[in-house]
Amino acid sequence: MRSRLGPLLLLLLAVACARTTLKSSVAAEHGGTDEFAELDFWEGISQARLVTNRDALHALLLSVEQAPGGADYAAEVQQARKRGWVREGWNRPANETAQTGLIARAICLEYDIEGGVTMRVLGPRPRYAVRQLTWLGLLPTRGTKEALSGLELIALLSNVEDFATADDTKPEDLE
Amino acid sequence: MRRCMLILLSLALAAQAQDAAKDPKQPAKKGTAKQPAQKEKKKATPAPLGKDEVKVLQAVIIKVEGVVQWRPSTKGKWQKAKVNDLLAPGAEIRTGRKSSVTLRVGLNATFKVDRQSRVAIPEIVQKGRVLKTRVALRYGRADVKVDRVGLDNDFAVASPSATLAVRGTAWRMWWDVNKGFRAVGVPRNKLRAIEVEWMQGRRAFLSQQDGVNELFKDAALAAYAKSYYVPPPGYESPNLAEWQLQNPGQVNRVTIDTGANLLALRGYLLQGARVGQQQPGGMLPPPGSGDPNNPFDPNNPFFGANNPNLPPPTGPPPP
Repeated sequence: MRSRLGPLLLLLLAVACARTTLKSSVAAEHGGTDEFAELDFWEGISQARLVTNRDALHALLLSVEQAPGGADYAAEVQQARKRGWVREGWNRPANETAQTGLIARAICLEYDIEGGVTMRVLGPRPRYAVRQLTWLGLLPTRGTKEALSGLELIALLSNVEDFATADDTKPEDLE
Repeated sequence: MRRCMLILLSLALAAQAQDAAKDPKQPAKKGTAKQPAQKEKKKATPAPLGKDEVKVLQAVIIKVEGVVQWRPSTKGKWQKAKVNDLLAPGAEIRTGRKSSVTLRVGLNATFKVDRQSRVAIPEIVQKGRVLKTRVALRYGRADVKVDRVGLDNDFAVASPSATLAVRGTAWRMWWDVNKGFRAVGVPRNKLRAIEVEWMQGRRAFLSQQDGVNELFKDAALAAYAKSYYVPPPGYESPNLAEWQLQNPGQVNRVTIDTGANLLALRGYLLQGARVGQQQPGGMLPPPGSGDPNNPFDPNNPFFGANNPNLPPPTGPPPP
């Protein structure tokens, strides 16, 4: 009995630990570079229950004002490699859900968020990048490998934009 | 001779009265020179409609920064926003990164949709004496100002977790999935100028620069949290001291603005609020921290049981 349960449990564990892969990405449909495509992309992301690798890289490239690769995922991965967001050998599927650690690492690198002693010594590893963004109040408490929803990604990038521009969050008394 | 003097005097008085009527700086008698100004003021105030009369109003775009688009309805086609574009009720607006759009909504409101936001304006009407406006903030940030124009204001903004209603004031509000609803008023707001109704049915009133958020749904508690200065033991971050040196004056916000800290602080504040004790210039440290200011510490100089300043107990000891 035990010998039958063992492989079954291993199989269940393997299935449970595998990352979710979606059928398609928002960037595949709205990956253009004109302003309508950009806002369509954000609109699509706001309705996405999970953010894929492709969407995450596209959104991050848009946020740092780099022309994203458009319909070409490989070009976007190449840009991410060049900017140090991912390792040289990183080659995850486009429609696999993105890890929060990847997004947090890219943000810490792009916005010069240095973090504490550990992060300064070891560099912006995904684990510490997530913790640093959580500590700064830009990201709710998340695990490094957890996925973000589309609205969570938008909220994170908006918070980072405010943080980078030192927005004092005071309301404007409109004329 | 006397008659001549009287005639001269009356002529002089008549001439002075004529000059006074011509000179705008000269204070005039009631019902003379003030009449045109009153007429102008009356012109600026929109006229109330009949009791059951309804007039559909519009919003006009007065300023655009960055990438902004709008569409006339949910099924309409997005178009680039330009100054002087007229938006009818039902219009939707979306803004991109580092972008914003300012609109004059109806007769009484100015509305700025900030970066990365999605807003709809389902209703802008005048019903009799009431200017009724409904705005839906799906996500993002908006600054709003509602003026008093002589009619009754019924202005409400709905977000996924709270609805905010005002009579005449200005504020900024946010909604994002990470932090939920937040609202902060401007300094010139009057007492209880803004009413926030949370999804759970709880209500809060904001005055002046008061603010509320998902964790501190009550303005008093939010202000109490804001006054928090020294992080309680266990909540410090390794680089907090360095950060404090670099950002003087912003310690409070960042220290308490992380999810875990906020939750801990909220529980602690509620506890502090219950016992009704607050230190001048800061919050009380958490119970059991060993701090001499801890109200629950028996050696606390003010509240502790071993306080030497307390009068000696009278009567028999408690059972």
